[in-house]
Amino acid sequence: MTAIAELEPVFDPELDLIARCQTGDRQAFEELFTFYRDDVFRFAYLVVRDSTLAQDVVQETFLKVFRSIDKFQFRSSFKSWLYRVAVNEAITLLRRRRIKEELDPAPGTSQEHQRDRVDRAWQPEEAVLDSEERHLLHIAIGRLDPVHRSVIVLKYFHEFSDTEIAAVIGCPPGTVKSRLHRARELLRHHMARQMGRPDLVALSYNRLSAKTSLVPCER
Amino acid sequence: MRVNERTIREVLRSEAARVAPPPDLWERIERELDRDRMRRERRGSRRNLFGFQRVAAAAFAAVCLWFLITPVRPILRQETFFAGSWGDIERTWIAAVWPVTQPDEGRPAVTDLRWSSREISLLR
Repeated sequence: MTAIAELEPVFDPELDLIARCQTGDRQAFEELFTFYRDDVFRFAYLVVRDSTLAQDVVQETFLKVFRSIDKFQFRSSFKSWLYRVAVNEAITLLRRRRIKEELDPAPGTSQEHQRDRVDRAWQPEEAVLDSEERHLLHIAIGRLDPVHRSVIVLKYFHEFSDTEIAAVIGCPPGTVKSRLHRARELLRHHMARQMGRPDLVALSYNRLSAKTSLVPCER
Repeated sequence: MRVNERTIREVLRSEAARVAPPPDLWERIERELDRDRMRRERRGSRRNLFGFQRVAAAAFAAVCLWFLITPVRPILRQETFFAGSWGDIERTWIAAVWPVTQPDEGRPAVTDLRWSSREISLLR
């Protein structure tokens, strides 16, 4: 008779860290922070496209997480919860900055200027080596709204699955697919405008408006 | 024109590679957490202090009331309530707290619980 091996509980170091954080263990929280810091910072930077704002996003995200970690009930993964907070913080801070700029527009601080500044800083070496397509794509990603940009970053940078993205943004996986599709269409649209291709702009516009005709407009 | 997913990945990775989190980010978060802890401690001590203040205020009020009542004590002792009324119970209570050894002149002492003939006739 085959001996049935006793199942031993699997020790998950992350769950152990979270449990220690819930008792107020500051060192455990520092370990958790160190583990996720770089990824969350890069996510924040790719969404808000500003290093200083990204630091604020990361700081607020981890503060919120630590302040409410005792309410975390392990129903979802900690990673989904952390990124959900990060997405919300990024959108909130971007909105706040936009309102501030609208109320008190200072030269060189608008999002348009910010994008251009990022673009100009990005250009020197990369523009020489990279294709025009990448450059246009870089600009087009900057022109996306924060929600679509978040989805693109989670999918293509962090390699989250549709299910994981759904857990982060709080919607069904089907909605994630349609958001990704729409985000790609928006990228195509922005790139076509950059390239000065009105036929492609019209084509992407038609797709975005969900019209049936897929024939490009004649020049 | 197709938007190449591989290209999207490469663009995002090259962008992310240009930045790094500042080294003092944890210190900043720790400072905020310390501030939270101090705020919580202050709130807690304020609650205890309030409890102590309550007790101290109540004790102070009791002492003030004592000093207010003390001059009135003789008046209370002499006060004649309507015979047979519940007010007499107050006289008995006050007399029990502040016993009077010598009756006031011409009047029965409050500790004198013998009923007068008038009171008896009222009862009848």
